[in-house]
Amino acid sequence: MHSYPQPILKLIAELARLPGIGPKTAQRLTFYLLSREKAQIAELVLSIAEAKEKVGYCQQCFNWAVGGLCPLCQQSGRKEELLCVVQDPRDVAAIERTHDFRGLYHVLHGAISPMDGIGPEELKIRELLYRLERGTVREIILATNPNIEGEATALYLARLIKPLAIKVTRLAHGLPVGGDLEYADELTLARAIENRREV
Amino acid sequence: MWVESVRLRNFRNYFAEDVSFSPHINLIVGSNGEGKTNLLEALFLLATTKSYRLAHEKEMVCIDRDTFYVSGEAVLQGDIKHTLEISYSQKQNKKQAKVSGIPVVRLADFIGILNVVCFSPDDLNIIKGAPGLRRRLLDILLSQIDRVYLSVLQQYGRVLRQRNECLKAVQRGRMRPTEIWPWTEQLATLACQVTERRFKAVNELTTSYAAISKGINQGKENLSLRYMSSLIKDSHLYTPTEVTESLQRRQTEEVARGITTIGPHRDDLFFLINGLSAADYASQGQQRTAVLSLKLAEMEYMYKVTGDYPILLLDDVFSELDQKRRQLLLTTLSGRIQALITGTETLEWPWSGERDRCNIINIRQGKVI
Ligand SMILES: Nc1ncnc2c1ncn2[C@@H]1O[C@H](COP(=O)(O)OP(=O)(O)O)[C@@H](O)[C@H]1O
Ligand SMILES: [Mg+2]
Ligand SMILES: [Zn+2]
Repeated sequence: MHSYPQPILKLIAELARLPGIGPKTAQRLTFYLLSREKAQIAELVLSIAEAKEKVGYCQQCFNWAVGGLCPLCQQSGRKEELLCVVQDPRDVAAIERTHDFRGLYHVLHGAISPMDGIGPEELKIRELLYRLERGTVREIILATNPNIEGEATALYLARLIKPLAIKVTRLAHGLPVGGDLEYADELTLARAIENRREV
Repeated sequence: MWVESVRLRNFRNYFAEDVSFSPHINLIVGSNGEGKTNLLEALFLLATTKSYRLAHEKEMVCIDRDTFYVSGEAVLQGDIKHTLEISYSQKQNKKQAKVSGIPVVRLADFIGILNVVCFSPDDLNIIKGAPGLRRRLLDILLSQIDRVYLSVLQQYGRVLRQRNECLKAVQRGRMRPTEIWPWTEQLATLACQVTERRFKAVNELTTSYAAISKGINQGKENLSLRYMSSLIKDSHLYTPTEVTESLQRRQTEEVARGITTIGPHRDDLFFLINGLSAADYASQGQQRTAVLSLKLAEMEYMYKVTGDYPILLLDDVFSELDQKRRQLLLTTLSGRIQALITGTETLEWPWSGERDRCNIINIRQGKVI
């Protein structure tokens, strides 16, 4: 591999830092990219830079957004009194695919995990409580992942929210235990939302 | 169940060797260091995905090679055949398992297809050794016959680590005490599930254990087993709520120590002789009787639960047993159970009359000769 020119080595190394990409794939991607037209590469570079530049968190729910609010928070006809709390923006997309849920979301950006040094402070929990203080939300669905970190986060939140006289439900089991919400199929997810239970 | 053959590639001192077995007794013969234990280790690996010597996968890869590959042709009840394959690459630090050609998603799905009971010289220390050895014995037994047990045990282990990290973080002021209880609550539920399953298993085991040991010591003493748990009092198993309460009462102490002080990770399996602790005074002979009886009882228990006998892996202990115990063992095995028994010399094998019925496998430097 050291026979390659330095720019190639540099690109391989950068790509290999991406999640799910090992040295072999990084090498393959590098040679693929080098074989493309200049214009195509420019467009790729531009779209990466543009995405990074323009996309941030929604001020209200912390989903991805361009500007202040994400499209879901701006959509008319969504029930403001129903809030679904998820770990990750990808979970929002997964639940939206079921077309069953008409409330709004709140994205925590992770789950409590002392082993990884992640406590409630590291998540968007203070922001959630702040949001609840406004009094519009009547029911919260805790849709954290069905693994022990997701469950711990849900239990922690349930206890925080209970005194606010808001109904708290947890996604029903039936989701693959130990798995990520993101990978559950639509039917399973729809049923889980239907059978949510109080915690 | 039994294993027809195994294929070893770059595994320990086996470069490339295929070994066939008989469904009954297989004597694996060779001098020290030729690879007898390595062969048994391969069988254990096909059953549990792990080494019974607690070796890391890296150590099992043949020196100067990257990847080991072990496969076995398992014949289960009803003549159902499965090819079990395990490989490990050092470079990728990746272990892969396949059942009849299909990769398993989680290694846990591989465990419990082929079942083994292993008896090695280390097991002779089980009665007087550390409690962790006895918990491990129960875990290996139950993981093979109870899919739920393995998953509950793994989750328990993870919640326990998270909770202990949380206790330490609270101790150092990096987290608040209110952040402990989501772990306490989950721990309590899982702790009860693990404890209940172990408790039930030991209660079942002790019946055949007592009967088998009577056969060996001619009823001289009563041997029994008892599961000792911080969550069981007078045969009453705590409910998750009681465990949560108990943990909450200990919270100050646990924060100070940074560890969880009750639960199945602290439990023990007691060996009793006439109701007294065998760990305190059992003689060598009594310990041998106890361990042999336990191994045979494990096989009976697995048979009772799964309807199929496991494979017995007997590493270097046959020569340690006296004539009477050897005879009992062979009678128990006779015709029903596949056994792989290692030893250093054919001459010392006691039952020359039965030798014809045994499949003898001579091993030298990682090869069958
Ligand atoms: N990873 C390895 N690569 C090559 N040889 C190994 C490896 N691990 C152990 N061995 C060799 O295996 C032999 C021990 O085999 P073992 O099965 O324990 O012997 P025994 O027949 O006495 O039970 C030793 O010669 C040791 O050097
Ligand atoms: Mg050996
Ligand atoms: Zn939003």
